[in-house]
Amino acid sequence: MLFADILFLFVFLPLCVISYFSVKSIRAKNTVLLISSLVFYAWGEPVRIILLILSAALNYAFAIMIDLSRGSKQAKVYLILSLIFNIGMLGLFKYTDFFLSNINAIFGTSIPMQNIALPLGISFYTFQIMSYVIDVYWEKVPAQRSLPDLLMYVSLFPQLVAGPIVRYETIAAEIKERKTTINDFCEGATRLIIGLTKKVLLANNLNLLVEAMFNVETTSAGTTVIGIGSSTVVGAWIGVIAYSMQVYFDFSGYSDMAIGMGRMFGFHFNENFRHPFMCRSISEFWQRWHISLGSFFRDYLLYLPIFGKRRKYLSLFLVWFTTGLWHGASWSFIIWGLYFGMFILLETLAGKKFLKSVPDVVMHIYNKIVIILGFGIFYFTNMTEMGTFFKALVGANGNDFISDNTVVGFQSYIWIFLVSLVACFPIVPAIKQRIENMSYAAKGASRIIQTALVCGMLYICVNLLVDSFLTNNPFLYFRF
Amino acid sequence: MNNKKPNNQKIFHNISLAVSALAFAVFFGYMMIYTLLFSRTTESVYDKQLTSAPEFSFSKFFLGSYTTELSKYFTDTVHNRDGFKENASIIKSYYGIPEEEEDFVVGPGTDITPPDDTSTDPSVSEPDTSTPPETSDVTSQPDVSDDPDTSDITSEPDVSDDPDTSDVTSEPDNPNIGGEEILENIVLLGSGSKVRAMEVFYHVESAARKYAERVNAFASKLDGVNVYSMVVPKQCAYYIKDSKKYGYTADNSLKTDTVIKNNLNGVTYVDVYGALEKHISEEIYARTDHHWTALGAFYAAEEFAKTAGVPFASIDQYELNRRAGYVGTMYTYTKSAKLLNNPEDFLTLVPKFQTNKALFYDKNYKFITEHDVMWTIADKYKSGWYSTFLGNDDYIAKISSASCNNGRRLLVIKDSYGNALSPLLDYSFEQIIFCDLRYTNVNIVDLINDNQITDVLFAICSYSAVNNNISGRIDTLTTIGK
Repeated sequence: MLFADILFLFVFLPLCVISYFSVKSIRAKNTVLLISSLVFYAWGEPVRIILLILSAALNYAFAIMIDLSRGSKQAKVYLILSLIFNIGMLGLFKYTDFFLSNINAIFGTSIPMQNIALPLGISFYTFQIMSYVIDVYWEKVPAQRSLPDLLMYVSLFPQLVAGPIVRYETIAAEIKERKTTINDFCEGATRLIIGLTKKVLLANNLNLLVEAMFNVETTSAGTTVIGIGSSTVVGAWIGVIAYSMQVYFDFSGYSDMAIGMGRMFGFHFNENFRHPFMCRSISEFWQRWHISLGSFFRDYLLYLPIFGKRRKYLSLFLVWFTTGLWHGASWSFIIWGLYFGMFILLETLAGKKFLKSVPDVVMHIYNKIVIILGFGIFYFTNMTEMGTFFKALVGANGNDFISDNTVVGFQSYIWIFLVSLVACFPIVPAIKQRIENMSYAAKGASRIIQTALVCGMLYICVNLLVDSFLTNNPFLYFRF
Repeated sequence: MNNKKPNNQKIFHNISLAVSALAFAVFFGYMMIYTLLFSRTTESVYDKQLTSAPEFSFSKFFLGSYTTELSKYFTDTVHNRDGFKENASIIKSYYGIPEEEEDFVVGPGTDITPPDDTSTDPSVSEPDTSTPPETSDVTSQPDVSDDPDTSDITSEPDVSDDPDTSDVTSEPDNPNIGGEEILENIVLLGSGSKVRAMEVFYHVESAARKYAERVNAFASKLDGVNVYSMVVPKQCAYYIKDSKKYGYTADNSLKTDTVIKNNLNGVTYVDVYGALEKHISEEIYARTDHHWTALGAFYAAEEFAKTAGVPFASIDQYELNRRAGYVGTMYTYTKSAKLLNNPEDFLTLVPKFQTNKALFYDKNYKFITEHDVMWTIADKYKSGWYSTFLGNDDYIAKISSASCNNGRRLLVIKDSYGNALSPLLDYSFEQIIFCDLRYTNVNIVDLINDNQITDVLFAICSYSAVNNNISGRIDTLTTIGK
């Protein structure tokens, strides 16, 4: 089930909210959320829900066994078994064909591809459950003794499919005891609608601009052909800038919806994005972009003493190799990860002191170019097309600098582009901060205005959803 | 007092929170009832086929396709779906700066069958070389089935064959919104109330010549019957010259008209091209629809009457009625907010003189009902208001004049363009029969003989003339049942 869908927004979610608030005890509320989450997942993956349940059940058992054998070597064995299972499952479903294609390429074999479909959300829920078992092993959290509660944590529908990767420790207390105030409910609903608007109004339309600039066409057979070779220089630049914003609004929109819905049910998830394009360096960009993934790798991979004395650089390499690989079973994603890793390494070598001494303007120009080109690598999963794209940026394909089609295409989405650009700035938090400092009366008035605005945004989204239901893109991060 | 003030403010703050929560609850609650309990949309003026409710099967369920289809069904058939789509068009018009000229590709892209003999006659196999390379697009004009029973006009009113049980009301449930004569490229020119959508017409000499040959062959099968050819140009003939992209096609309609005129033999050419050209500053074509208007049809009928040597009622003898809010088929195809936001008037010319009701038959010539030639189309079908003329394309309509007694009896073999002529020839012929070239399923020679027809008029648009599947029906009509 998609978040940006009429059936989800106006049937599934209201029914879930009504059921949730019509029961009193926390156990009953958790049961409502568990059943809703399983229905939500089964809607898209009626069979592979078994995989999700199996994963939760096995890791539930591993965590308890770790807890029971604490202090002995057995605890480590259970942890390793758990990691083998989780990484193995992810490897099997996500990387089998990638592995086989590389074997074939290296050894000249022709092992047939297995074409295993990727279960929805597997990258996210596997990381969540791994973080839980590792945290139990590290004694950061006690093992959850209730399987339904652990299953609810793993399958919690707001964040199940595309994150954020919510650590067990973040919501462990709230699984046991939580309250939803009217303020939580309103804030959550507002956040949900803002996220939906980011997706439906901005990301989906930026996608149309990207397609216009990259000359993307859909053939009658339904396949997509990217005509980047005939893009103009200006078109290629506008396209990749628009794509960077599209990914941001698409993914942060989903995170907003997840955080908002969590809040409606009394959960307080950590932020996953903090206006990443406001960063001053690439290191800072990754502290603001997909924070839950970055912090996962930082906490569970970067500081592991697996490379001995040379761990600083090798761990950095491993983190960015894995970051790329996590996004997709393709060398282009690995290159994308290593590309960012390389700039982070350069920034580390340059040192904080040096970076501080560089004027802000220079730092912003530097990091925006690096980030935007990085999204170019992210877009073109075909290496030949990627090469053509980089040539198009400098006119090396013999392409024009600008054409009427580029102007007309850009002009058709110019307000969407500009609104998106403005929305990359932290305007909403600034307004919120101002409101926080106001009197109660002013706060009350601003809340009513805000509610009217978001209801208007929701109305706009509903019209667009009905209009484009057949072409409505699923969230980009669904495929990861 | 000082202690009270903050408390009051806190109360106000809490009230605002409650109001917000209530607003969200009402919005989502209403939408839940709206989605689940309001009647589902079963017909749309914009899409011929809506997503149907999926049938449950365990295999579909386990594959996940049942739930996916159910989600699509709920969205696609939501109550007042067309209203949402119209709102979306308006929202989308604010995405950027609208262009003065917009281009839409709307056709299905199916191949048109070349004229039957082009493969054997090299002289007609080559398209006109004056046509730029893009004109090969003519090959992707939509296919119109030869077989009336399998024609794609499934959205027309279902009319029973049995007169006693026929359910014909004065408002067809789902009028034909047109499109069967639509071309693949639509260009929008101008802005505001001057915006005009028009199809791009490409000239293919062999196709024009083939039409003339077919009409000639048709005429040769009839003794003592006058046969006329009136090929109505698409509006691009007069208005596309300002297009930056398609201006070069401006003389294509005239080229086609000239080829047809020069190749007619035993058939009288009606110069509708010239007749309409004199009135291009008037509302002779709809801005938002692919048809002409009642006024355009009037000038064409006047030219035909002059050619046929029959009397004709002047414009003073009609009342020009305007129905505001018309947004025709071009919006259906382009979904352009420019058209939606700039509706036009739908024109009708209502005779001031006495007229009789027409007898309506189905395409197999079985009697259905007696009705005025003009039908009332519901407001909600505003893109289909053109069906005011004759109700629908596939009826055979027989009109007995109340004012003419000159012994002349006319058969109009038409496409939807000919429908607009229906109220205009009462004064000229004592009996007029309208039948559609595409759907009529009776032998036309028998129809002519049985009704003592003296004159036959082919009244079709230029696209129908050069579309092999449509003009091929001219041959078929004389052989049905033989």
